[in-house]
Amino acid sequence: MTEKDRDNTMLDDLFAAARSDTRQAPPPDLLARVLADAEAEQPTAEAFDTTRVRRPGRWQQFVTVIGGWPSLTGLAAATMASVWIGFSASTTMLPYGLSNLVTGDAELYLTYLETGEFIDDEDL
Amino acid sequence: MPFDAEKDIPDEALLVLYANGDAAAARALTLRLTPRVFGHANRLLGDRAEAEDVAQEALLRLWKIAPEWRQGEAQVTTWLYRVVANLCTDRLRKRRGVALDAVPEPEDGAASPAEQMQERARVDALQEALGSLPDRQRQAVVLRHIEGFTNPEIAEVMEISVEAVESLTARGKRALAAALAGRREELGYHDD
Repeated sequence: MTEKDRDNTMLDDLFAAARSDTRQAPPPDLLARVLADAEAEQPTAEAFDTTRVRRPGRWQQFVTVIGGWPSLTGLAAATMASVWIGFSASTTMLPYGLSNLVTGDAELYLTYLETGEFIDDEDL
Repeated sequence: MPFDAEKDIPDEALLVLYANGDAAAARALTLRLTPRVFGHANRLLGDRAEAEDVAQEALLRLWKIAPEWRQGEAQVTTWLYRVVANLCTDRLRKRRGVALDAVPEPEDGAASPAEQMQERARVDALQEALGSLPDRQRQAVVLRHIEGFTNPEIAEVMEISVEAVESLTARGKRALAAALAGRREELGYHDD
């Protein structure tokens, strides 16, 4: 057996002795202290309550019921389209169509506002 | 959770249970990890009182980080041994500033039978020789030959390459053999 072999045999034996050394066991009071730390640091039920999901408001509930924001966008577009159809079709369907509001007197009102005549007429 | 049901649960899963408020997981992790952490710190420091402080501090850090622990990134033991090594290194540096040759006295084994005394004398001699190694060599040798880590695992704990681990353990073993060469007979190792 060479010197190196003898050294390795001795070291292997010493390492095995170290692994089975009962004095490496932690004292009971250390286990108690570590467990006390673990319990003190452990997240509690109250901590989880703070992360509870907030109840959505009425507007949010409405948006959710109609299918979310995409549906709301579609609803707005349809509303605007129907208003436009109402204005453009009123000249043929109504005697004094709604379009007169913008094509007739409304222009005059705007003119009065620009020149200040409208205010003068009312005051006088 | 039944008392012995957590035996087969990996450390990482127990830590998640702990972070979710499971009291049994706290007990299981304490009983499982404290002996390993304390034993490792004791071998690196050679001082039970200091090893107790290091073990408690390392595990306290684990409890604090548990809610943010991300599974799959690292093993709990790898992370813990790294923390223990860092804490021990800090203490060894401070200790060198106070007493350069502070090697702890072997514990008294008064009432032990002869074989048990021989075994203890061997463990004490090894501990004393380990104390004479440079910190990184000691850490690598303890992890490899006493804690039973593989070289890649040690590389992860020490944040170095596997080749560097092999070099550290080889040099550490040579230094240990040299330190113990004069005590071979005393420790019961005969040349025949």
